[in-house]
Amino acid sequence: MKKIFIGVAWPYANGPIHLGHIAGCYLGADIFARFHRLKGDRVLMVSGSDQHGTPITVTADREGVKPSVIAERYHEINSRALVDLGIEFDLFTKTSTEGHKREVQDFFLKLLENGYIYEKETVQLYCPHCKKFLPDRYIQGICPHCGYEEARGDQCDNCGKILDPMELKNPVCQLCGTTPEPRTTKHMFFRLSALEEQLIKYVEERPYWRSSVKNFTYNWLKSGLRDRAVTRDIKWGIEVPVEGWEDKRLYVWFEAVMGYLSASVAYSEMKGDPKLWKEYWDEGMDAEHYYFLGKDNIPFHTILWPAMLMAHGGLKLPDNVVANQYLRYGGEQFSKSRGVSIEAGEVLKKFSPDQIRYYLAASMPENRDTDFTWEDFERKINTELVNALGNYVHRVLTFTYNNFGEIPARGNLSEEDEEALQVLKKTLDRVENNLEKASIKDTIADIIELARFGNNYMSRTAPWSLIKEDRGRCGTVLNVNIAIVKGLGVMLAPFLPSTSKKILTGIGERDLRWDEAMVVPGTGFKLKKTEPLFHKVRIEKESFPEFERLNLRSGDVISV
Amino acid sequence: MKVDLGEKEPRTLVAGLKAFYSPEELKGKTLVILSNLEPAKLRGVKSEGMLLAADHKDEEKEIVAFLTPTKRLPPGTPINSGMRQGAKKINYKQFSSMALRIAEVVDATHVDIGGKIIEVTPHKIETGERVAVYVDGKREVGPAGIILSTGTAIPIIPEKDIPIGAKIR
Repeated sequence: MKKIFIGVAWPYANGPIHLGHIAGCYLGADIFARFHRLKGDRVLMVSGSDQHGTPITVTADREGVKPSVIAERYHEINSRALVDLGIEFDLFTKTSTEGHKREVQDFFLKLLENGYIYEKETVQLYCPHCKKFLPDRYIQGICPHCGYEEARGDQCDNCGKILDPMELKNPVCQLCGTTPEPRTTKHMFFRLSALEEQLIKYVEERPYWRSSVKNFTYNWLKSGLRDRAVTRDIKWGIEVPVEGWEDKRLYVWFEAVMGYLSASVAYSEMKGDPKLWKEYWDEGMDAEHYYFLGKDNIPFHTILWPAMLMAHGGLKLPDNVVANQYLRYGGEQFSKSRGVSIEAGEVLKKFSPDQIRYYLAASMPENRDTDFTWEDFERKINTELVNALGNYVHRVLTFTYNNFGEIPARGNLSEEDEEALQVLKKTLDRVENNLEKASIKDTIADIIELARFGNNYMSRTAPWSLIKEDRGRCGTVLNVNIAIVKGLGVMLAPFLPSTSKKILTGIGERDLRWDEAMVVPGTGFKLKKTEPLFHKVRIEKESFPEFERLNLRSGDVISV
Repeated sequence: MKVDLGEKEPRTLVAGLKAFYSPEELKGKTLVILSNLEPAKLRGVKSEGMLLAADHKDEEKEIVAFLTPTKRLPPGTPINSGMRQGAKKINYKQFSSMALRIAEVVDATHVDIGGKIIEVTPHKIETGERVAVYVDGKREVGPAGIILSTGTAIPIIPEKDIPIGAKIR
């Protein structure tokens, strides 16, 4: 039994989460967690709403409310959407809790004590019109790397590079459009540069990272590590636990990643076992640490968070950092800020969680950006989920119910039966192997392929003919088919939890573990009449039939 | 009025624009023409199509603005928003049951059609621009509207300022 810690990127509480987020990290993490729980491993999976920082204050300023109103509103909405999608966190918390603040301040003081935090005078952009120092997100300008014109002070949305506001060309204040001027102020800095060698070694020791994660990280390391400010001029955030720093707050990049630790501590307290978190986090413990995130979050999890953990000492560093590319819509990246979005809550009103989970797992942007279209959604659900999987399970169970009423006994196996069971075994092994590596997309495709194989085996062995000629042989063939159905039920559990439950309950199984998938189905179990697992979905195409009756053309006026 | 649609012969259109535009104001302008409308005799003249214009009326005044592309187009360019175009004739009743409105762009997938924000298929038009939008109120999934444009995404806009929500006829 292994101990698995899973940290999933914290969604900013300044908007509802959309399909891009779900495909980006939450679904993959949940499948991975459910798989390990199924294997009997101990899993601790945490995340929460990132409630501080300027994206929230910008939204609050725009709506004329307190930042906490925005932060709580989206924490509620997003917690609900995640639960409704069946994303099972051990704890989904938020960064505005007292517990998080305490852990963050303790962590900060430890870094200060260890000499990794120091104070420095800096030049920062000041808006003479708004009369304040501008935090990075309040500044917009041209990206010095790619020339994107709407780059924010902290990061360029186009090339993904992390920026210092001073690097932007033609900077303007987001609030009033004034060109800000550089002025001197003081900030606390994290001595990232001192950890460069340790970080290079750390990355080299993890050759199993996805190549996109490795490349991104190496590129960052190659350009050299600079110390980073950990405080900023803003009122909404965690106080700096040092006298004389009352008007500054800890920087959100620095504070939010500590949520992984503080949420683990909070979970332990919730369970009445305050030391529990140490079993996952103490350096000497044999826990494995996995992080799931979208590609824009890579450097925070492969460089900054490991560096902070090194500076702190005594805590486990991330093992695998699983980052996905983007799910896009209409050729653009899903983006709350630019309004290209399909909200999770909206989709849940129209489709079941398992339909959504299936589509997103089958289209997961693991290695390249992937385009979401409603046509593709319809096609995948109807041809793969309904025709291949649903049809096979329904065919087997209905035929067996009608002719035997129970799971028939397995007699002598023919060569064909043996081969079918081999295919099942091989699929199980491959699926297990791929899920260990958190590879989702190929795995679900493999499972659907097994359902297709099952359909084929069913047709080849033709139990509807056998039933008239050789009832015993017919029973054996059906028993083997039910073994495949059972295997499908177990393998689908991490992906489509309620479908898996429906399949397994139908053949008298419950609470199965992974290694029980190949056990011969329970002979004699009384079957019930089954309903189809899924129904086809029909999406109105991105076409407008009425509109397409019009024939509009441009015309130039010659005379009146 | 005679309009060049890139066909052999120009088409004759009867339009009720006299009260709003002088002949000089219209001459040489590019209009959006519904070209598959069944020809009908209007004021004694056979009209072979209809030009699209937005109309806003309140207690004080009536504003009419004809629709036009943002760029010069060759006569007869399809205004199909990247979709198929009708091959059969349609009658005026069928056309008038469709909702076409002036809207303001909110973001890459939403427009404001006057007190109501609807989803439209993704586009690249800047926030705040006024555009002509086709609205399908019956769709349950996906966008409820589409911005009128050429196949190459050149948008169709009102020729002059007119309030959001103005009906297009």
